[in-house]
Amino acid sequence: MKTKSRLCEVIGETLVVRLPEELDHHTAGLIKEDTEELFLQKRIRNVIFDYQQTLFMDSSGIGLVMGRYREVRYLNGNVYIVGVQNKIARILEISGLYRVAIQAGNIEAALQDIQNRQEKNKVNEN
Amino acid sequence: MEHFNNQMVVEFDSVSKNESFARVVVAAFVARLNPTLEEIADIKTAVSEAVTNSIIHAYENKDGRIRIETHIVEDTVTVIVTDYGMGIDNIEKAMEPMYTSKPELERSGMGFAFMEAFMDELFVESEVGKGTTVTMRKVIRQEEGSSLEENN
Ligand SMILES: Nc1ncnc2c1ncn2[C@@H]1O[C@H](COP(=O)(O)OP(=O)(O)OP(=O)(O)O)[C@@H](O)[C@H]1O
Ligand SMILES: [Mg+2]
Repeated sequence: MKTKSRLCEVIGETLVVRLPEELDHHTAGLIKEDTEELFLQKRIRNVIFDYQQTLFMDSSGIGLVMGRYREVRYLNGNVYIVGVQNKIARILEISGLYRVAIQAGNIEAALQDIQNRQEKNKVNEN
Repeated sequence: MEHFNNQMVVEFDSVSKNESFARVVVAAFVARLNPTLEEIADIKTAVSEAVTNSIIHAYENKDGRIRIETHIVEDTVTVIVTDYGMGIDNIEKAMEPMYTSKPELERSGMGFAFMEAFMDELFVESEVGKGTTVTMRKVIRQEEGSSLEENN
């Protein structure tokens, strides 16, 4: 079964979404379709949105992140925003997304944070 | 006195693929004012919000036409986005941040808030069953140290 699309990749229980250069209603719709398929196929507990390539974003990008946040928060998962370029830093600030999403430098840092949280939870359970 | 006056009109079908076209065409028209990269980004976002609203809300992803008129008078850009769709019943409520009539489509209700944040002025006129006109204005402060205008 294919688990890797052009923009999405599943690593363990984490979905990594590499956002396109321009994130608008049109491209957000395509990404949502991709993620929906993966959410059905796989157990996904965390989502990392990688903005490394993204130079434009409008409110459609907000809806995309909020929608995935709603899907993972029931599993006690998290949504990460990584690799934000200067150009879209302000719109992300105004959007209020940082109230629900965790900011990290890059994908590796987010994956590390996910692992740290899992280990902490294990310790708490014992 | 106006030393610089210019107008541009485009009209296109209400499909999501045209969102990027709409922002690029307005940005290209405004480029003659020598805006900063940030000003260009602000205008692109605002245009994208207005056009997306026409596609999603006014026409509900069905057929329709969207018209964009752009004026430049001196250092001020005016962008007027018009649709002939369903219109807005309560404009004041529609413009409240976080208000959306389409939460099921993963809208966040931030479109008007972004238009307001990124442009200097925003007016919305609408008639139910007739359509909506969004007028946005921004003063371009121009790139420091650039003399492109003077060379023309
Ligand atoms: N051109 C339009 N025609 C009809 N209704 C509109 C139009 N533009 C906006 N609206 C109404 O105003 C509301 C608020 O618009 P706004 O752009 O702020 O948020 P949104 O489009 O719902 O969400 P977002 O822009 O964050 O994706 C919409 O939900 C819709 O009900
Ligand atoms: Mg909107």
